[in-house]
Amino acid sequence: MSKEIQNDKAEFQSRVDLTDLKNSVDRVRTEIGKVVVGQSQMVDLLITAILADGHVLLEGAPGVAKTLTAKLLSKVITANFARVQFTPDLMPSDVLGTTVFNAKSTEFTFKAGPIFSNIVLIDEINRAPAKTQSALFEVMEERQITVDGQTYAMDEPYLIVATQNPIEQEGTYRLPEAQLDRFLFKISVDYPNLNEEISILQGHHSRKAPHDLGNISSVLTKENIKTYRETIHGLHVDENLVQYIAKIVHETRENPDLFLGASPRASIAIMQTAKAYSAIQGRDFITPEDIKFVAKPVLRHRVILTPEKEMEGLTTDQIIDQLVEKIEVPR
Amino acid sequence: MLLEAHLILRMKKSITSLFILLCSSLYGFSDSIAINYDSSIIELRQFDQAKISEYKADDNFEYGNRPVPGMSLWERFKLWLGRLLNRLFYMGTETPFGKIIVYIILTVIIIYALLKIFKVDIRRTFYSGSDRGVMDYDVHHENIHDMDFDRLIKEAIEKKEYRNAIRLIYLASLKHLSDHQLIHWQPGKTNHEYMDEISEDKLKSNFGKLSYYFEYTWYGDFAVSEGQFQNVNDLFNHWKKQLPK
Repeated sequence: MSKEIQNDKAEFQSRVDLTDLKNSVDRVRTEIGKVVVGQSQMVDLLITAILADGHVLLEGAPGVAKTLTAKLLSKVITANFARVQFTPDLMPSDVLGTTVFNAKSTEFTFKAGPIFSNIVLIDEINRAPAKTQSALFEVMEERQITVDGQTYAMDEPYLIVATQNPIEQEGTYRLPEAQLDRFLFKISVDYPNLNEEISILQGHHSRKAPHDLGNISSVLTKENIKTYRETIHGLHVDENLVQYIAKIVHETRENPDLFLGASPRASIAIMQTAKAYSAIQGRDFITPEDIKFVAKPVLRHRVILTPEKEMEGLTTDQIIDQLVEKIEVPR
Repeated sequence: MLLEAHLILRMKKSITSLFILLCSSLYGFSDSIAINYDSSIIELRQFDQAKISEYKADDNFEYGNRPVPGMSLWERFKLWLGRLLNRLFYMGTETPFGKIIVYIILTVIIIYALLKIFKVDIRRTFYSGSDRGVMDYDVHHENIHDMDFDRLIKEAIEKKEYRNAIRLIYLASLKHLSDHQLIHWQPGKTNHEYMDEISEDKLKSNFGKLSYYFEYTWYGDFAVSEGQFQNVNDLFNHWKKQLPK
């Protein structure tokens, strides 16, 4: 009986060919896994963000491989990569670029900043003041920059991976809500467990040059990403699940423990990322499981706790868990 | 030699300038000490005693008494509302028609309060008869513990609604698991969360297959043939036998 049913399981053939996408994702996981031990959820969310065309904010204590993972990601994708270390004295022109006078041609020419790359790693993003943070608003949302009345479009794919340390408060600035909303995911990077810690030590010990990323191969091209994004856009979303997503986001606005609820951009983000996550599982439709998986990283930086709940020691993650559990899964 | 002569000439010029400045200052001082006295005759004016008496007689100028303000808009509204309620109360207590109205309102309030306290869905109470098995019901108001699955599945098969029939089979399997206390039923849990709660391997594996069919047909909107449905139905019947007695 079981065998017969097992054979039947293959009968639902995917309506969209996701084989190539799934193979590519598996190769990305393998390449990153050569250096980063564990953190599979972070890696999956990063891949999901790339496929859903969104920026990522990585938050975690120092030394949990945030920057390393972002660098590895740039290695596995054949695309331009730039890194900006955010500091308190960093100016918007240092990031975006500036117009300089060319004495030879006696003309002003635009000198592009590091933001003009396919993958931009912004390390310690919360160390720059609001003025520099605001310079990122346009490029994060509209994928373009306007300098001296001239608009410059970014090359696709365009991904900002920012890191921040939640513990350190000295010399840091809280990111504006408008900017946080522009990040598709805020991924909390946890410490590895005991076995993973042992594997990290063993790997580090056996490698001759632990910081060498030369053995990492590029497995994704810009064209691949563009094709996969188009494929993902066409995946099936059941009407009941659209309502389920809307209810979750709506609940963040009604919940008395939350001072600020999530925006409609969050609803769209949940749907898009759930589609991308279902695609990397090889499925051409989303399930409530996918929605629950992406809900926390999409919502945690878009909601604000009430001061009372913050003082009680509650976290946004706990409130999101509670409100998602409250909403009936459509069946 | 020429330089000395130039210096002497400049010194002479400076001394002359200082002398002129001093003379002009002295002239200014002597000019400012002239005083003009006002010698015009002052005419003394008296208050009009008749006018003062008139003002004293006027109440508006009596500041010792506190003014009595008129009724504000809010006070007038309260007064009007009070009179209206008094009239209604009189009608409700003193006339037979009024008494009937009051009793009806009180009964409705009490019934509404009881329904709210016991969380009774009034629509379900009235629609629990023969037409409850209609397939286009609102799926969000279902309670798996109240549903007659045998009848609903039979009706779905008769109408060849195999997608809905698979969904009902899956909901029935959840009810069985909940009744046998193998899962802790909560509407907010996902299928995989329920699967993780099942400890018995074979039961879990076959429930996983039922979940697979349900997800592909319900969320994935895959078409189901009669043969495919029969397989799922057989699996469900086989799975039910694996449940603890």
